[in-house]
Amino acid sequence: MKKNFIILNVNEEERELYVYPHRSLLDTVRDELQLTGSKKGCDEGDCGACTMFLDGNPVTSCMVLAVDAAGRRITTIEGLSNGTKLSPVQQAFVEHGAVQCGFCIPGLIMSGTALLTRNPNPTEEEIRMAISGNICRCTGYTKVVEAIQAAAASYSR
Amino acid sequence: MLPFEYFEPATLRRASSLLVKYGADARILNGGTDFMVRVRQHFWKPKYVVNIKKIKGLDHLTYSKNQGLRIGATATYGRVEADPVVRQRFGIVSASAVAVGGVQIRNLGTYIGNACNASPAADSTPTMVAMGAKVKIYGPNGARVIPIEELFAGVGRNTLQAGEIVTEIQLDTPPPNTGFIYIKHSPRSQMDISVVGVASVITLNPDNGRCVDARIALGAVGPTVFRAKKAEAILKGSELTGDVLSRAAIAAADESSPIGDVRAPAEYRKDMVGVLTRRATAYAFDMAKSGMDVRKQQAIAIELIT
Repeated sequence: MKKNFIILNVNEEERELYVYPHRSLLDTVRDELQLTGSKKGCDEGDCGACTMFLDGNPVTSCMVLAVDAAGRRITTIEGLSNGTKLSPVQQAFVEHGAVQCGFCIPGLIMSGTALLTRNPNPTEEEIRMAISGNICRCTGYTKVVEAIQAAAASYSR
Repeated sequence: MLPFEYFEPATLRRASSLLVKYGADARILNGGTDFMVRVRQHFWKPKYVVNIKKIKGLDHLTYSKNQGLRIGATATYGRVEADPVVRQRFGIVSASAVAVGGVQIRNLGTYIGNACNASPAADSTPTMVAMGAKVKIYGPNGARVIPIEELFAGVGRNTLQAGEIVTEIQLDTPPPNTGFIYIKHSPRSQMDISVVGVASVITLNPDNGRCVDARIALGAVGPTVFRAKKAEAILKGSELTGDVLSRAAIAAADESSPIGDVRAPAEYRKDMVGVLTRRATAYAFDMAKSGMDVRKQQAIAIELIT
């Protein structure tokens, strides 16, 4: 079985690599590109810990083949901050203590960011819908919702 | 995941010839949300994978008065859900998209993939069946168009022949005085598989208020998504009194043949078919009677789903 040559556009950088066609985007980004911010939880599209943007839309990257993502615009959690300056949603998660173990947080931040990019003034219900594909097993989503609500202020400004 | 050889054909013709050549060893890759799970679990073991997403002209989402709505094979739920024309004219279609997975899954998955994989619990399918959707199929011997329910052969099996690829779903513009609803019953409101899904589409004669057309599609309570035709026959031509609705509900429950599993016992599912058929049909009837606009119907449908 031979590897395919692909170019992945990740966080506005073109990365050339050889991958087996059956490798997922998640595994490829984590293992080949060493961008380990996106987490592997369930590996079957349920938990949302691996959420990345494909052409701006949040997707579970464990459900995408790397070869299939070639030529598309991929954004990972590493692509949200500007150097050490956190994005508004990241900053809000820190300020609101919306983190326990942290494993689900990259995915939740991606989902929150995707929502606010489209809808800078979401209701609480809309926020809960937007993160319904992200599972946190520590406890509660309350602080996560509060953080996204707080971050909304900097989007709607 | 077991390794496979991967193809990105640029045309339907090439994709179809690959599928013919490799037969049962080949699998279509579309949205991938079923594909990735089943291949990873070795439930499917394709040696050749044919990605149809690079074929131009398969991702269309178009509406015209004469042709109705056309949803291309690779158009995702996310796109359909967000489309302003779909929202305005086919509210139940965008509402039914919301019943599927979460945001991330809807940005990958497609109506046509869901239909082709023929899960009896497919969440987007009952709505399509109840709306009388047709599918257009490309094949080595030309194109054909069939009602969507004729795609389903059994649990996870479709009726496609070697080299055939479903290219679009076709939906006619619904007549006025029509109400639509899809009710999904599952332990969790999001990211869960239906225990029972009921789609009900009711069209009334505005002059006498009688039901002129009724279509009820049931999900997760038989080997395929199917129409409860006995229940429909009771409703059609009748004034939709409480008694008529109850009789239709009992008929629908009788027509179902659910299995029991970790989500719910068979008896419970059967009972819920009755309860939800009555509820869905009452909603659709009220919507049709009040001449409720599509957006309002959509809002109610989404509220019932979530």
